[in-house]
Amino acid sequence: MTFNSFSYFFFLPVVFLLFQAVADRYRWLVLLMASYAFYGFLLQPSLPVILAFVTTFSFLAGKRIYCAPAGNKKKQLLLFSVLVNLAILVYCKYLVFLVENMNLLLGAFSEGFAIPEPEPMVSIALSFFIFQAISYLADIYFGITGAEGHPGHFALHMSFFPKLLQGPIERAGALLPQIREPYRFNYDDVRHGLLLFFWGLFLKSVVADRIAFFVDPVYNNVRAYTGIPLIIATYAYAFQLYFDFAGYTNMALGSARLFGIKLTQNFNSPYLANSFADFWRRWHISFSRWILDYIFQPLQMKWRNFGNNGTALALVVTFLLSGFWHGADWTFVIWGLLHGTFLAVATYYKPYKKKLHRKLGIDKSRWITIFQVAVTFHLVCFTYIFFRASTIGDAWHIVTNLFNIYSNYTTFKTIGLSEFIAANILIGNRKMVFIILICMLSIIGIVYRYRHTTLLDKPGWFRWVCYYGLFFLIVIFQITTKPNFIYFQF
Amino acid sequence: MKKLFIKIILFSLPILALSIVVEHILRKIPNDFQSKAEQYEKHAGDFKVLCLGESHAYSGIDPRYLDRRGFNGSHFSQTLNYDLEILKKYASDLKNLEYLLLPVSYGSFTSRLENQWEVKNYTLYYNIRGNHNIRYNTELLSLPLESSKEKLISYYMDHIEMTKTDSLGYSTYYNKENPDKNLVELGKKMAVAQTGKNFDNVSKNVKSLEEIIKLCGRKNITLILFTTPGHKEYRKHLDSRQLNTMLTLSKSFARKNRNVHYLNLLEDSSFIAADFYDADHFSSAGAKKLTAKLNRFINEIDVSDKRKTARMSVFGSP
Repeated sequence: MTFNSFSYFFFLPVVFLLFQAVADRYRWLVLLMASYAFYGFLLQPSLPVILAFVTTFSFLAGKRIYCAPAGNKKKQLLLFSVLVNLAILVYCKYLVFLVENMNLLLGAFSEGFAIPEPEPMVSIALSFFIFQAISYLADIYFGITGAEGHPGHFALHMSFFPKLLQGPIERAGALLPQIREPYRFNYDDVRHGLLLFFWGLFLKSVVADRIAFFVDPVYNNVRAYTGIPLIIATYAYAFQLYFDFAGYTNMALGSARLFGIKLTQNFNSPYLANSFADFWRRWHISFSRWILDYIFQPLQMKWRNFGNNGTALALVVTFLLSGFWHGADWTFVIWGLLHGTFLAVATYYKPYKKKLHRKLGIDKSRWITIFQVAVTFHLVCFTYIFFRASTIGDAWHIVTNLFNIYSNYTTFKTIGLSEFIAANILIGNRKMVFIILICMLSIIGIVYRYRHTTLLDKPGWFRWVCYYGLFFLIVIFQITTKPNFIYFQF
Repeated sequence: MKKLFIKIILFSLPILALSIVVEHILRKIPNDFQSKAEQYEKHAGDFKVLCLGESHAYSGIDPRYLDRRGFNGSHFSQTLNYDLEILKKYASDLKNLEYLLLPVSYGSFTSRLENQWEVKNYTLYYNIRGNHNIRYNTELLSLPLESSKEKLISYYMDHIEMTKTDSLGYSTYYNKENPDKNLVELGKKMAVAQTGKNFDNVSKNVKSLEEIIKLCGRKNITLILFTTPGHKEYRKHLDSRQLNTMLTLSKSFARKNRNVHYLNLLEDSSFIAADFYDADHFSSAGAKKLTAKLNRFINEIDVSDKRKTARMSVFGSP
């Protein structure tokens, strides 16, 4: 069951009604049972078991860490508990990848010797809740938060269904107090929640899944294309990924809001970032904060004596690991490495950049900001080639053929552009697709203008027109053939 | 909370009203089920030969080539339980029916329409109410909204003809050339698609066929079970267990019931590539050939039955 599935439209109201019906002291139990049922709907029995184990282990470990006196013992307890969580993650998600690559390496030295490859395991949500468990333990160690005393509240903190599958990765200090707080029905919370949910559904099922028609034919068969189709598909993917993930996040935030819980906002106009550092302050915010707090900062602290070199190295290592987190594939590792490299390079030239801008008198110019935003966006799109490509070979083909529009002089057809247009832009005989896209973009623009709070402050008739408009746009234009979210696979 | 429920109800009312209107508009779009149901209403009493069954019959039986007044009452994916339901529904109207042609194909005993979207066609247009799931009692909920939207646009805006059946029930879908006619690929694809994952439906389908046989017996209708020809590229991918089950059951029904005959044309070499639309459905040329073969078979049975009747009238029953 995903947020955009038919069954979720029954599941959510049932949980909401049950939640309202029970006494306040049992509400956490309703949500906890609903969360495990939600996870159970994936029909992978091992996953709820792993979640239960990680929850129980982290709860007990958290108490031990909290009670341990400051010093080596406390540190050892933290290390041990983090390692256990990481071991579970590596075993479930990365073991096949590690064994495959080990065998490749061993094969180079001794023919015929190979470690038996294990069966791949389904690892949906593991990356998210294990990182959440690690942040809980680390926060206790660093004194940021105390150990949770109520096992039920902690279990709910770990498994809360709106954020279980794809985050946001919530900090204990942000979510646990909300779980502990007595619930009072708030009509505005429900209004906000529903609007966020349906807005997210629109972004996913109408916008992102429609953009996929431009991306999938190319990225699923890259060798058939050179030049412009590769460029269009790459830029289109940037928007598909954003609308898909932002759509999910809005649906998660909206679902949580129905229960009076405010989850972390995960996006803040990421393609308006004027640098890679700014991009990571706006994209997948809960994840970037996690890697900043628990990987980058400790490494930077450890290597502070190396100055800029230490910072640069810390960035490269952090984003290398971030690439790994996204998937057990070298394409993700390269994607992470590229981001780390761009960030590392920025640490060196940033001071010189400021001086240069001041000298040229353009430091306060709007045009320099526009230029920086454009450059950042294009570089981010370039890294998406590795993020989306199925293999390194495919990614390399794309990189080396992006500007290869003259591969064959004789026919226009051979560069794939006319086929691309025929197959994708006129998809399903709907020549209206451009009109739909323009309308959707206009609506996105208008609603974007109001997205923060102002729509709900508008007059009733305006709001209801927008509600019906959104509802019918979803009903009429949704794509039903792509049920899964992209970040589901991470 | 009360305010929330009131607002939700107020929001939902226009949507519900619109859904009812759209449902009504969708049902008004002409379709093959509706047109065949109308033919039954108007002409059931005239039919001497009725063909039921699935797409093999739909593509393979053109009643124009029958000597007797015939009607093709088959549909894509129609299974034995719905053959029975249609027969039961119109039994009293089919006063002059002499022969019932029923294809028994490779998938006839393993597949069964019970909880699939196609059920709504029988509920809405034949008024055969077997399934109480609300999804299968409406046009709007039985398929993804995208399909309903496409249907509305195709009919009301693009004015595309939605029925693919002539007045005798034969499908006009197969009259055109198949641009993707790769018999090697299609043969394997169709055989695999029709191979059942389990045999759970066999006993239920056997029961349905037994009821059809009983009904035919009561009405003095001769039932002709036939297996349509299949191209060799299709036949070579058929699962032997499933195929043997179908053949054994079909022969057994013919052996045990006097009013039942079985004609196995699966490996009939007179059908060439040009007779096939794809590996197991027929072009118009193939339909003409197949219908003519069945027509001759009916005539032979007719002659044989008349001789038996004549002998009995001279010598008395044994």
